[in-house]
Amino acid sequence: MQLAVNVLVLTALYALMAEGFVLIYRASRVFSLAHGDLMMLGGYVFFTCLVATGGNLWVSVPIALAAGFLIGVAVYLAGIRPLAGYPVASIVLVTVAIGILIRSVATLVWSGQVRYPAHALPFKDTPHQLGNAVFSTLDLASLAAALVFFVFLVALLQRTALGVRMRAAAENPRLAANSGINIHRVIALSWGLACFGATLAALFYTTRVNLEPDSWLVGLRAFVPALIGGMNSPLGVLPGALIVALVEVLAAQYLDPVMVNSAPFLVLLLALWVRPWGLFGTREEVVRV
Amino acid sequence: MITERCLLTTMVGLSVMAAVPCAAQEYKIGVSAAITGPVASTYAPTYEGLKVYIDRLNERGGVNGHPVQVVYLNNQGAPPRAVTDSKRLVDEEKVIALINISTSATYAPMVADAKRSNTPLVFLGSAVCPPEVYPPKPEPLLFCSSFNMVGEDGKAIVHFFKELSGGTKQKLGLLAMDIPISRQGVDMIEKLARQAGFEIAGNIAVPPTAADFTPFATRFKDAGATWIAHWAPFNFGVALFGSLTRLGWTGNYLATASPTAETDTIKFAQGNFYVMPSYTFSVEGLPVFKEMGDAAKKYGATFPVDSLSLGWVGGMILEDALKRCGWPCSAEKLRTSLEGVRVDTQGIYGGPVDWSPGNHVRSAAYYKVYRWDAAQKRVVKVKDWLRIPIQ
Repeated sequence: MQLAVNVLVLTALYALMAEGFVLIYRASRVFSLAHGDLMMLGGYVFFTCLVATGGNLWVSVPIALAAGFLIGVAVYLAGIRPLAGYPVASIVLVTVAIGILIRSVATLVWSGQVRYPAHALPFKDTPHQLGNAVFSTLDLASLAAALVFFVFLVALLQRTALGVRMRAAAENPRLAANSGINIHRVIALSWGLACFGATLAALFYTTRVNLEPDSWLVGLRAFVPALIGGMNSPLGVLPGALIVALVEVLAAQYLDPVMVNSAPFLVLLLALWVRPWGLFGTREEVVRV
Repeated sequence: MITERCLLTTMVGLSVMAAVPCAAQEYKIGVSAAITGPVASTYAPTYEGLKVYIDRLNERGGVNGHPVQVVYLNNQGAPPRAVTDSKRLVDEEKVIALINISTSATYAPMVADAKRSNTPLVFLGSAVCPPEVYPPKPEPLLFCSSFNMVGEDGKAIVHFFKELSGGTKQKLGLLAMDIPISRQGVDMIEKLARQAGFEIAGNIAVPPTAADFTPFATRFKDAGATWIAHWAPFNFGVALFGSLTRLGWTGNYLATASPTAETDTIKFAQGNFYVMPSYTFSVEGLPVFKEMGDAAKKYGATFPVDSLSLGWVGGMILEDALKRCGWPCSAEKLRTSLEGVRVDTQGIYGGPVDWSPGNHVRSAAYYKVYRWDAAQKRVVKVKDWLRIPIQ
């Protein structure tokens, strides 16, 4: 039972982080290597607000999430959009540069000191007993947040005119543009949503573990569930995250815990051998030999 | 026409001009430190402590009337950067001593350059003292004042386990980061703990990029660990302890310290979280912390004062060695001076930093234990200095 709780909580965390890779890839066909850094930056914004407001979550969380969204939009408009039409490899390298820039800025502004946002929370993250399993308030909150985020995303993509435009731009940008859709606005929105999700993940990761400029590495690791689920499948990240979380938790419990690092990559290799476009992704046109 | 008087005046003038830079010549020291990067939280405070000390020293006139110029380079904890740093410091900057404040992975390239150029290399607040500095025959060029020592830390942890558990039967859980030095340290603790009659509930090495510590905490809890200790970066242990607390674990945790341990322990505010530093926490109010606080404020340190101690001690050591070296001071002369270093750390360490030709690490390691006291709402000392001779 405890293992199930651990798996679910880690799934929620990975799903929130990984969704950003998918949203950005679908919108702009770019694998953003700055995603972990954007998550880390969202964490710092949250931490700063939390400290500045004396632990007021009602203020800190909305500000951090809004900032995360706006940072995502800004990164697209300032860093990615000017490269429209250039080879994808160039844009991926730009995301690497953006990541390094964010890390440097974070170190300059917040220093390399490890921060613990959990210490600034207005409550103690107390354990609750459920049968023979224990879960904490933050565990529950992370599950609820992931659920709400994905329900919102599905509703947005499936039930709104904006969602239809986003899907159209993702599937065929030229046709969408010719149909009058402002695809740059739609792609900017996707970057914003991706960073919104990353910031949401940062709220839970940083309050459970810690926050430092190096936290970007954890965010980058989330590309594994995204690839397993399928880079063009927004809901594929859920089973992808579940598989990775399950493998990690079982490795930590029953194998050498060091396997936690390598087991997900082994699963990724297996998954890609079986379905190179991801378990729930769709086959894309092969443009290389 | 050039007269004798004119020539004499010109020569005197030139001599004065040449003498001016001589008088302003400085002791040149090179530092390669993990100022930023993945491990900066462990090393950057020590770098800042050293920098603040040297800035203050120079404002007070330097050493033997000469300023101390320190060239600080950022290796980010990465060996390739340490390679380029030490080459630049030795070959271009012509420093008379190298200082490492970084991970053990950066040691080898710096040691190689130190040996090649016959320049002393001092590990001031690096991760762990390398084995070459220990008695009876230390490597002549290597010196260490770092706070973590594999064997001595292990002995201290097991000693405090015994004292704090009051002789009752305990099951120990041990946490390492999945890097060679941390695993080595934890394996040593396991061996010593077994010899002391403790049962081991688990020796777990966790990957550095773990997204969640709950699975590891679950394993310790399921194994019935009543005490858990780590020999790993401090924030790593804090993350595990956080997960244990969320799981409702009620045992005790003994953490080896890093420079930021005091601040973090205060914020943590958990009575069952014990910290075992090899230096004094600022809560004890030693006069030296007032000095450090004033200097930190004046020279713009970004880390809290209580995290600067190790770098501050590094500054004391450097000052002592340069005083002994006199002026001019060559790399070879400084190496000899380092072997005579004897620094009273004004209570920061339990004893002096006393290097000799047969011991480049110090004659004894000292440890204290602190924990959060909920009643007093502050960190309190639980165990006073434990002295472990270094052999």
